[in-house]
Amino acid sequence: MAKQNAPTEERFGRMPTDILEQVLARVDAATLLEAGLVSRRWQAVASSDHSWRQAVQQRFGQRPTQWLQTMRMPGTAHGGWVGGGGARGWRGELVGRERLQAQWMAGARQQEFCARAGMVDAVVVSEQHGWALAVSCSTAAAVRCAPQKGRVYARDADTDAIVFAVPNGMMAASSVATRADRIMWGLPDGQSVATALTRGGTLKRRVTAQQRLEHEVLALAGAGDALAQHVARGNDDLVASASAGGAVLVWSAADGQTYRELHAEPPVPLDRVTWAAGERFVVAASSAAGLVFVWDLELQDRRPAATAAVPGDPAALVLLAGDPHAAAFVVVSESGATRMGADGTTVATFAAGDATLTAATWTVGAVDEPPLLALGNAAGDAWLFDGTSGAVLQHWPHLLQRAVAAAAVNAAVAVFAARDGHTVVVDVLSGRVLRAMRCRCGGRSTRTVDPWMWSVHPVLRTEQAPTDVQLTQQLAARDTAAWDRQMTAHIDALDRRIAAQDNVARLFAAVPRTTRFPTAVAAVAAGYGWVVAATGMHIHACFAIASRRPPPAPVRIARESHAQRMADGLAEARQEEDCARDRRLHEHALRSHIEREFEEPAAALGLTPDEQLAYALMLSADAPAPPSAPDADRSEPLDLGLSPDEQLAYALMLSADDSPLPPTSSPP
Amino acid sequence: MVTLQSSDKRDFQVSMEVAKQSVLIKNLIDDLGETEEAIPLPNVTSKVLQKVIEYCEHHKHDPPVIKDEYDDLPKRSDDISPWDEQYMKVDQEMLFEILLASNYMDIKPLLDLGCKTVANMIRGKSAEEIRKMFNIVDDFTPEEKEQIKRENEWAEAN
Repeated sequence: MAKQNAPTEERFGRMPTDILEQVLARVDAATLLEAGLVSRRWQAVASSDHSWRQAVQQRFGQRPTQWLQTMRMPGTAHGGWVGGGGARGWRGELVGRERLQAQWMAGARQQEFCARAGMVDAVVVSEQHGWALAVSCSTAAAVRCAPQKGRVYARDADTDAIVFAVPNGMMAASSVATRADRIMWGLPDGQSVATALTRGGTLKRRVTAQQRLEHEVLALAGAGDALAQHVARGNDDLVASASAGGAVLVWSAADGQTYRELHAEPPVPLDRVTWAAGERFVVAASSAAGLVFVWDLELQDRRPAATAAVPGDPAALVLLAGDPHAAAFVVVSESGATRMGADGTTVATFAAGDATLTAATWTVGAVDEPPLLALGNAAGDAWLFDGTSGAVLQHWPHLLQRAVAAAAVNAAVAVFAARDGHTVVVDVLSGRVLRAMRCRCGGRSTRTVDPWMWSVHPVLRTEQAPTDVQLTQQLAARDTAAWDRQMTAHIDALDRRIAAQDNVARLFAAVPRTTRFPTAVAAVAAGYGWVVAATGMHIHACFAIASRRPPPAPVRIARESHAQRMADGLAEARQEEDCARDRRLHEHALRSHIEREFEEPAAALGLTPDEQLAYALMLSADAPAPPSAPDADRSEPLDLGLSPDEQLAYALMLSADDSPLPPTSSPP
Repeated sequence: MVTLQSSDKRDFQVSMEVAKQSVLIKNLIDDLGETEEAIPLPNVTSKVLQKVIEYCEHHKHDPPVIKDEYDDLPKRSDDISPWDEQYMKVDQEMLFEILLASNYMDIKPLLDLGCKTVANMIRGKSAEEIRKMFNIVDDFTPEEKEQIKRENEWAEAN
C-alpha cells in the first residue's frame, strides 16, 4: 500500500498548478472550502478568485460569463452585508448568493405587518437603510416601514411618519413617481410637487414646481429614477411632468425652477414620461393616441425631435422606461415590448409570446451593467431580458396561475405577483423558484375583522397544512399542478370553516362571484433579502425574509447619518409648522377610513356602501377563481385601463347594484 | 500516418486525424509539414501514450471544440459519457499520468475528462479524506489551520 502510494504523492507534488486549478474549477463551494484545508499548495489554488469564479458559474449555471460578471450584488461589490461581512470577490459573491437562496428556501422569518396609506400605487425600498415606502395617490400620502426590524413607522394613530404631498390641502394626487430618496407627485390642478426624503425615510424638504401646467399631471419622472438606488450620478434633480394637455414641464426638484416646457404635436394626453441618456432626452407617450414623443433638451425646441408610433395594437402602455446610459428607451404595450432609439427607430424587440403583457419592470445599474427588463403576461408567464440586446436571460412559463400583476427585479432576485395574491420569488441567475407565497386580504382569524390586513394565508401556518417549504419545493420542482391542488383544497376547507362562523361572509354570500376586483398585489419591490408587496386597496403589507444577521451599517454611512440626523432635525423643525396643517387634514381623512374599516363583524349589518364594497372586495378576491375563459382577467376593472378612482366608482356601482343589503346611512 | 515516439523509445503509428487531436502535435505538423520521422514525446511513457491514443481513436470523429467558447462554458462534472467513464476506470497513478500527458500534449477534451474524474473523486470529501486519498502531506501549522477554519465559518453559517 505504502509502496503504491509513494509515487502518487510524488506525482501529485509535480502536478502543475493549472491542472489543480482546472480540477478545483469543477467542484462545488463546500468542496472548495474543504480543499483549502488540504495543504498549503491546495489552499493557494482553492482560495484564488479564479477558482471561486468558476464555482459561481457552476453553481448559477448557463449564463454568458459577461452577464454573470456584471450582475453583482451591491453587497459583494461594495463590501456590504449581503456578501457576508465585507467579503469581496467571487467567493463573497457566491457565499452571498448562496446564503440568500438558502434564506429564501428555508422559509426563515417572514414578517407581515400593515400600515395604512390609502390605495397603494407604488412601493420603493431602500436596501441600504432597510426601509420600505408605500406611496398612495388617493390620499397623496406615503407610509414608511422597516421590514428587517418588523417595524411600521406609521400606524393608524401615528401620522407623524406619513409623508404627505400636498401643501394646499388637496386630498389626492393624480400621479406619482418615486425612488429611494424622493417622491414626486402630480396633482389634478396641474401642479407638481417633489418631496425629498431623509435617510431614515422621513420628510426632508418639499418643493413645489413654480410653474403650473394647464391640465392634470398624468405622469412624472426624475432624471436619475431608473438607476439602481446605490448608483448616483449626474444632475438627478430634474423632473419631467407630463400633462393631459400634451405638455411636459421640466423643472428642478431642488428649487422648483422651470427648466423647459415642451409640447407634443398633436397635443394628446401624455400618460407616461421618462428620461434617456442621463438628462438629455425626455420621452413621453400617450396610450390614447398610441404615440411616443422624444425631445432632445440640447436643441432649443419645444417641439419633439422625433415621434414614433407605439408598436402593436392596441397600444395600451404598460411601461415606458429610458436607458440612462444610452439614447434609447423601452416601450412596453399590451401587445409587445420594444427598445427604440432616440430617433424613434426600433433597435430590439423583446420576444415575450403572444399573450397580453400585463406587467413590466426595468432596472438599470452602473454603466457597464446590462439593464434588465422583466415582463409578465396574462397567462402567468414571466421573462427576464437583457434590456440592451433583447436576449432572453430567463423564461418562466406558467410561473403564476393568473395574470402577472406586478414585477420587481434586482441583481439577485425577481418577484412576480398575481392579483390573487400569489407572489413568487425567483433567482435571476439560476432561474430557480426560491419561494412562493400566497397573500390574501382578510386576516379573519382575529377578532377584529380587518379586511385589508394582508397576511400569508393561515393555511401556511397550520400543522396539517403543507408547509411553506414543501410548497416552495413543489413549485421549485415545477410541480405547479400539485401545488395548486393542495393549496386550493386547503384554502377552500379553511374558507368553509371560517364562512360558517362569519356573519359578514354570510351577508355577502350573495355577491356575484364573477364580480372580481383588483384587490391583491398592486405593486412589489425587491430588496436583496426581502420583498415588499402591496395591495391596491387601503393597506400595504411587507414580507421580509430577515437575515440572521441584521445588516450592519457601513461605518461611513453611520458617521454621515449622525450629521445627517442633526441636519434633518433642523430641516424638519422648519417644516413642522408647514406640515402640521396637512397632517390634521390627512389625519382626519385616515381616521375616518380606519374607523370604518375596523368595524366589528357584529356591527357589519350597519355597513355603509363603502364598507360593503370593502367586504365584497375581500370576499370576491378570496373566492377560488371560477372556471372561466382564458382572458377572464381582461374583464377586471383594472385591465380596462381605469384609474384607481374609476375602479372604485365602478366597484361601488356594481356592489350597489348587486348588494342584497338595504342601503343604510350610518353605523349603529 | 504519423509516428509518435514515447519516452521509452517505442513508436506508435496513428492516423493524422487521431494525432491532430493533440494541439501540440497538430502545431508541430502544421509548422514542419508532414514528416516520416517519429515525433518524440519525451514526457510520455509508452504505457500512458497507448492509453491516450485509445482515447483519441475513440473520439476522432468528435466535432472540434472552439477554445474561446469552451473557456466560457460552465464547468460541469456530471455529464461524462459511459465510454469515458469506463475509460477512466484506472488506478490513481495512471489517472495522474493521463492528466499530465493530456496537459502536455494539449488535448482539451481529455484533460477536461481527467479533471472531471478527479473533481468527482474529491466532491463531498473532507480535507482529511482528500489527503488520505492522494497521500498528500498536511503542511499546515495548527495556527494556520485555525485561521482558515475561522475564515470559512461565516461562509458555511447560513
